[in-house]
Amino acid sequence: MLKMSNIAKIYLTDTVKTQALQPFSLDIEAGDFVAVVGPSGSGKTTFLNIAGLLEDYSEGSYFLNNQDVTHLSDTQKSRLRNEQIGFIFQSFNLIPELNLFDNVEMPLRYRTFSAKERKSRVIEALTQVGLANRQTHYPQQLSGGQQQRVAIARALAGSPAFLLADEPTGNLDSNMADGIMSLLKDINASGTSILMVTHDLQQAAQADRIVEIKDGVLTESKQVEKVVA
Amino acid sequence: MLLYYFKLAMLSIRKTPLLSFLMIATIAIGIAATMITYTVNYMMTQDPVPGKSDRLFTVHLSSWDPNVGYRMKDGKEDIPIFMTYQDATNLYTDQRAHKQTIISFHKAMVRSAAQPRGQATMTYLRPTTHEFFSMLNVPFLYGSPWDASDDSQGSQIVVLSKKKNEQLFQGENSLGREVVIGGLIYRVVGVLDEWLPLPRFYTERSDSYSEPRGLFVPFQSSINNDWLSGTDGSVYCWGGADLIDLNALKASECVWLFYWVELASAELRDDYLAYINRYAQEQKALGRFQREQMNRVMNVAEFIEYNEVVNKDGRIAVWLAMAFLIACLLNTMSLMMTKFHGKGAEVGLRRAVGASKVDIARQFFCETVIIGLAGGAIGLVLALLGLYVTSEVYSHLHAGLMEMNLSLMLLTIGSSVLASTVFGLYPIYKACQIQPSSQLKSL
Amino acid sequence: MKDLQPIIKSLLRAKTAPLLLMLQIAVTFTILVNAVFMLLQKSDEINVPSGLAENELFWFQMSLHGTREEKKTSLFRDLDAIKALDSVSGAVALSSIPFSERGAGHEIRLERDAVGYVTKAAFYSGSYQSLETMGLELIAGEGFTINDERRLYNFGLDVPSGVIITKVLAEQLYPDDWRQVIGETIFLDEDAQPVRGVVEHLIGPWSFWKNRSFNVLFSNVFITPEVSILVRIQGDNIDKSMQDVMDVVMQEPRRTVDHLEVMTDSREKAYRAQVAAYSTLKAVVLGLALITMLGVFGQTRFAILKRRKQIGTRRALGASQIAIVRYYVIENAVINLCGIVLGVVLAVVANNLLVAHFQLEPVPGLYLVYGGVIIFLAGFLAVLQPAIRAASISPAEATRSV
Repeated sequence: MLKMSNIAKIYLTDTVKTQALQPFSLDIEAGDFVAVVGPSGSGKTTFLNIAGLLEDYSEGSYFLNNQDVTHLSDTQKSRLRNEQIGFIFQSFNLIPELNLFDNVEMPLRYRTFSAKERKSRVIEALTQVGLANRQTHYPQQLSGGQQQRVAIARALAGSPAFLLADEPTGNLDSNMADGIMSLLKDINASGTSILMVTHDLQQAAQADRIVEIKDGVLTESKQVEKVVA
Repeated sequence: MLLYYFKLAMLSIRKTPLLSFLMIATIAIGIAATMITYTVNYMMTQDPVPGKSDRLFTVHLSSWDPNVGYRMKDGKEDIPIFMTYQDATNLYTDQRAHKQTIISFHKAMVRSAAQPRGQATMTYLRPTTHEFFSMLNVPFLYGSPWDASDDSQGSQIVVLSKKKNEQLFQGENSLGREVVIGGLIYRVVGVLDEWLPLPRFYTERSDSYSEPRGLFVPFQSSINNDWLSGTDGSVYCWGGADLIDLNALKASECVWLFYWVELASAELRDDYLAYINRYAQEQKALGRFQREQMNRVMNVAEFIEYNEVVNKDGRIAVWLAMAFLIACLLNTMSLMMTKFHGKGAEVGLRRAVGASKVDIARQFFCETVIIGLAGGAIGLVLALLGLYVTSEVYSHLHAGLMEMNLSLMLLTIGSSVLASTVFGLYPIYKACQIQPSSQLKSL
Repeated sequence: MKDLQPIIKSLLRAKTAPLLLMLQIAVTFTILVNAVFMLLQKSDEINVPSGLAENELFWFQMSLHGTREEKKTSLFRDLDAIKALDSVSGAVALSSIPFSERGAGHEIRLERDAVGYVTKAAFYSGSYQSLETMGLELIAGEGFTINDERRLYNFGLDVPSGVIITKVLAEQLYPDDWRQVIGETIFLDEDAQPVRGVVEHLIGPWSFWKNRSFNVLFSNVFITPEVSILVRIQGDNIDKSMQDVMDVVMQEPRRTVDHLEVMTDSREKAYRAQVAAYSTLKAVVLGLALITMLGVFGQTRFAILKRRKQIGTRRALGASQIAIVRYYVIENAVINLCGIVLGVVLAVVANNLLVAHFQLEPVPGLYLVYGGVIIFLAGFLAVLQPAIRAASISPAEATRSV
């Protein structure tokens, strides 16, 4: 469902040409849980941005659900992000002026859902992360782990094909981090693919596949046959 | 420590140049607008004879037509602000005030005796009496006023304004030199120094903000010469007067002369008014003054108010400008909010390393003071520029109205600093409330 | 409008910043509405029709000397000589000159013994050709002929030879049908005069007077030691006409001349104060619109700086560029509208104060609408640039660590 072939990223300035990512290919199937590891500055974020349609790539082709995204307009890409991808950020990126309900509802507003549909999706997503009773609270009133749960609910509400998680536990202590990890695994178990960038090798070990990026070179280091229950 | 805050403030201003520029510019524009209008208004409403204005009075008599009132003002009958020749000379002869003066008007062709006839120019004269100068604190550069005997004889002598002396005698000490006024020789006995009473309260409203006339001659000499000009002052008549010459005017009930008195103290006002009323009763017995008697004396401030000398447009403009300043300050305040909010991380860090709320407040206070100072300085320049433009636009008003004195300049800077700090209080308060933890966590 | 609800929610949450902008807009609106209204009033005042052929007229005062008879002889000799000039099409002696700020006036009544008066009106008395020379348009009744002209040493109103009045004065006297005034007798103070004609417009001598368009014309040359002469030129060289006329009048040895002025200058002088106030108000209105725009611009720009990450997140979560622009434009519109509503209240209060303290006329409701539209458009213009900038923030901003 996510097929990247010979993707490369080159940053050009007036005088310098930087190869941020060497050409690589990667296929992710429905239900995969892929961890992306590597030291800072290795190109992890660039990879994530390309996978999430946040940034353009210089070479290669990228098919998302059999659709070539290379020549899509900004509006088409926005739409694709909205409908197919759920984002989870390291620093949560909740909007402080909005309460939890409104935060989770935010991406749904860029679609043509009815108010009733939006409401049932928001409540379902918040229920899934265990925060349905705190809809009217504001982000500042929550702990970091709870905030990240809200962000996960926001990612889930639009029923995306896969989740992109950028260091989802990077700002959390280990207790909370464990909670978030098990939540992500639950979500993966119910069929949503997850692409997670992390620097924590223990967490990475919990994924089906591990992709390592080092100095812009991407290699796959672990592949576990999914045990079908 | 203050120096450190100052340095931080300068750094911060330089770091966000556009934001700082917007803040300073808005304050400057608001302050400039307010100070321009305020300066004009302040200059217009100054006391024209400081220390004396409560002892100088103009006298108005009910000498008008028994059948029809003089005019209506604010729904009430009003009496003339001018006096008849008979009444002015009667009161003047009585000499019941500490000082008194008759103020008349005339215009004639004037040149110095040395100039050829062709160089004579039409000039507005001020026939008056000798105490005019001491009553209004008129400063002399050369010579002195004429005396009472010159008034009674109507001597052909003249006092020149400084400007007129420059035109006629190139500014030399012209005492004893001769001026030809309407074909008659007048000898110079005095030259005035700079003299610009604003408002020029002792005459008609339309002349309030123009320069005083350039030649002063004894009133009696204008009478002796049969000088009559109906076109450079006002003559109001009733009862079908036939104004073909001065004798007709003198004998008529037409009003045309201003009459001012100086009393030894403001408390003598009632006594003097009582005297005026007794005079009116005497005249009534003689068959004049048949209307209801509304005689009055008005001091300088009262007459300025009565004459509506101060333009109400000017006062409205001050209010408009002040509202404008508030709009500007609200704008600056929201810019400050944005600015200090943007520095949340810095505040959090400083708080974390041990700065107290007061320290933070001092730092930002320093910044608002600098912004206020800069706004005030630029505002001052803008205001001076604006006043220059204003004096071009309002060319009919004396340019002296559009000049700032030192205290107004200081007021400009001071009010800018005050305004920016007052409107900075809330943003500073908000900035101090930032918790050290909250900002660091999100980094 | 699907963004409206969250926008309002987040504005309510943020409070201070939008509140300040709203207050600023309200204060601006208040000043703007009152200033625009005063501006338009001044503009009416300045552009009041004079009825005169202003571009072809000049005037001066000149002295007359000698006995009464000598004065009269020299005046009419000079008038005839002026009228005979090729560069002059007409010349009249007039008791006062439009825009000159000097003149006479009367209380006008329809009954001699009426309590109070209908209005006050200024009075022009002069040669029978005054109408033609001034360029007035006679719209009813008849003008003056040479037989009507008298030459006296007073106003001569005791003889009812008839007056011509302005249309607005006629309308004031006969509000139902101003034409009724023709042939009726009106009283100038005590003196009865039949109305023989009505002219479309004629401005009075005092530009600032509220009754400046109420004027009465009479045909009598009032001979005084100093008379005012109004000249209408032939051709288009007014300087040459003035020189020719001066050459004629200065032949009299004792003659002095004052106020030699073209009518357009007199008008300009008369309205100097109003024109000056008009320019000031224009500057105020312009400055206000600018400051509001600066305010909105600055606010939005820095709000966007502050919300870079948020905007990136929205973009990452699927907001298109249009959606971002729409968000800020709507947010600004909401603040603007609240500011304008508050401004309407403030403007009405401020206007009542102005009316009470400065005897100004109250602002008509329509101006509130005008002011609202101006502020709204200014705000819209100002928000566009920052909103478009916001839309260009990359969605990759969301994954950037600070």
